[in-house]
Amino acid sequence: MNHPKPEEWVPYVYGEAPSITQRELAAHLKDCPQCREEIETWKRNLNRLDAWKLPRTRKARTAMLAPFMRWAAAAAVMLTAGILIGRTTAPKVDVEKLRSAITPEIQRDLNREMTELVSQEVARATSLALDSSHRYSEQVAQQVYVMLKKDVDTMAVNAAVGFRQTAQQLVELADYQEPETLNTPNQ
Amino acid sequence: MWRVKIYDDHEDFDRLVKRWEEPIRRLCSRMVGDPHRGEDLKQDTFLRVFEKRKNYEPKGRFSTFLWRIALNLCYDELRRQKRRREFLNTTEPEPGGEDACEPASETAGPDARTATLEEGELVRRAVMQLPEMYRAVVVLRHYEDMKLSKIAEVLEIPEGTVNSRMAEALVRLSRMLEPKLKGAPSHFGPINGLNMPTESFVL
Repeated sequence: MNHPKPEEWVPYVYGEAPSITQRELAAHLKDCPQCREEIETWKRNLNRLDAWKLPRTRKARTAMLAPFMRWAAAAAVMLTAGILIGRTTAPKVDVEKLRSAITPEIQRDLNREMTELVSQEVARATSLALDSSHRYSEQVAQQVYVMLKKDVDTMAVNAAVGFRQTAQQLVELADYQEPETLNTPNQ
Repeated sequence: MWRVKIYDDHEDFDRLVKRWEEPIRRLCSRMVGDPHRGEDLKQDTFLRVFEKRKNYEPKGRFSTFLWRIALNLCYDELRRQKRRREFLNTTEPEPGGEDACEPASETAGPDARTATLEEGELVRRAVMQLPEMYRAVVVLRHYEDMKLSKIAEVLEIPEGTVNSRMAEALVRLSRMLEPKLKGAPSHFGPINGLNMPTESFVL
C-alpha cells in the first residue's frame, strides 16, 4: 500500500487540505491501520500541547473586569447625557425680572438674619462676661477666706503658747518660798 | 501602521501595541520557554517596530512584519543563551532554555523524575527540545492558530516546507511525549527533503 508522505497529513490534520485531498486521505485512513494509528498519535499529542499554559498577565486579569467597567462607563455616559439634555431643554429665565422680584425679599431675609445673629452674639458675650465675673468673685472670696483662716490659726497657736507660759509662771509663783537666810538674826 | 509611519502618531502606535501585545508575548514566551523573558522580548519587539517605523513598507500585512521581528528577536535571544552556555561550559540548563531537561547526574531515574512533573511542564520541555525551525512552526500553528499558508509567508519559506517541518515536529513530539504519557513510538520515517539532525530526544 502506498502511504501518503507525513507532510501531506499536516494540512489534513488541521483541516486545511483541499476538499478532494481531504476525502482521499480520509479514505486512506479507513483502509490503513498503520497511518490511522500514526494520525491518532499526532492528534493525541497535539491535544497534549494545550497542557502548556502561560501565566496570565496583569493586563489579562484586569481584562476580566472589562465588561463591568464597560457597563459602568455606559451608565456614566447616559447620566451625563441626561443632565446635559435637561439643562439645554429647560426654559430660559428673564434674569432682570427675576432679580428685581427676589432682591427685596433677599434683603429682608438678610436683615432679619443679621439682627438675629447680632442679638445672639450680644447675649452670648453678656452671658460669658457674667459667668467670668462670678467665677472671679468666687476665686477672690476663696483666697480671702484662706488668708484669714491662716491668720486666725496663727493667733490661736500664739495664744495657746502664751496661756501655757502664763500657767507655768503661776505655778512657779505659787511654789515660791523666801530664802531663810534673810530671817536669821545676826550673831 | 502607515499612520504611525507618516504622522508619527503615538496614539495609533498605542492602539497597535494593545492589539498585538498579547499574541507577541505568547509567541516570545513559547519560543524561549520563559514567560518573563517572553515579556521582555515583547517589549523589545514593539521598541524595534517603533524604531523601524520610518522604514516600514506596507507591501504585505503589518502582522507579518510584526511576527518576523518578534521571531528574529527570539532567535537572537536563543543564540545568546546558547553562546552563554558554551562560554560557561556548563551542563546546567538555563531556566526555560532549549536544553531545559533534568541533569543526568541526579540520583533518581529520568522516568521517576519526569513522572512527578505536570503534563504542562512535560509539554514545555518537549517543545523546547525541538530545534528552533520546528518550534516556530508548532508555536505559530498550534498556539497562535495561524494558517499554514500564513506561516509560510511569515517565515518566508514555501508552504510545503512548513508542512514538512510541522510533520517532523509532530513526529518528534510524539516520540518525546508518548513514552511519558502513553506507549507507541512513531512509524513515520524521516521527512523527505529535510536535513534532519539525528539527536536523541530524551526529556
